[in-house]
Amino acid sequence: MDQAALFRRDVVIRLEAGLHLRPISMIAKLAREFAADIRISKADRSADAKNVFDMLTLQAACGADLTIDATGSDAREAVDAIGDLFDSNFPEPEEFDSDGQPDQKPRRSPK
Amino acid sequence: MKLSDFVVPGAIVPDLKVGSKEQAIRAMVGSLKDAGTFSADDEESIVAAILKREELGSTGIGKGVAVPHTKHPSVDKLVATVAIAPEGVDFASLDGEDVFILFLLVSPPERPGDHLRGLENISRHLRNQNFCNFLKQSKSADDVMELLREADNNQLG
Repeated sequence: MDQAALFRRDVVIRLEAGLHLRPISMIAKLAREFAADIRISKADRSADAKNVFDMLTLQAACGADLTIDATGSDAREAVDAIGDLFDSNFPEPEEFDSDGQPDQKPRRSPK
Repeated sequence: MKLSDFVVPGAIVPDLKVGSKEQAIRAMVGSLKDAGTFSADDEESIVAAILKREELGSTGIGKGVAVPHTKHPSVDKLVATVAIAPEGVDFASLDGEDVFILFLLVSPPERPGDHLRGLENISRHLRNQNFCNFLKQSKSADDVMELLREADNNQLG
């Protein structure tokens, strides 16, 4: 096995507010679960996916094209996991409505 | 965009002594209000919005730094303040460490780009260890503001 094999996936930012701190924190938390070196690049800028400060400097707005690159033993899994996070558009934890009441739970659909 | 474009000089808190994350946020928002950045009527709603954002995940981003923030209609441009907490504050940070440097940002709801540019600017400078060390050593609001201007002019090496 070639340890230096590079895995790559192109993604697009679909968050209206761009790649802001919350999605960046989610990426960093996920990236730290992998041993691989993971980088996220936008045009000529590249950032360490485990480093929040680095990723904040990408300044990626809605619609920006990014590339995820990883090398290392679990690089393929890392690129898949982070790519899926982009594809799912960084789901929010369950929200509370403006009255501080939990949102109505959707009815359980029949199996 | 420069730090000195959006950090309100009169709102800097050079010696923040608080026992909790909420107190830190209250003190910083209060300081922005005292500097006339928004009216007293908006203070509580800004504090509540920032605390709600923290519930989604801490803005303690590691290396002893936190960047609490919110969008709020009471401002028409990005405004921020800086606080230095020499004894540290437990911010439930991503790396589990206390925070010593806090940048609190309030931006107009319809301008997400300004917010991103502000965060980009702050994090770019915070990657510079000299900037972090000098900030932590600042004893007065003037010290902090001078340091921000030096960072803006890339004088910190």
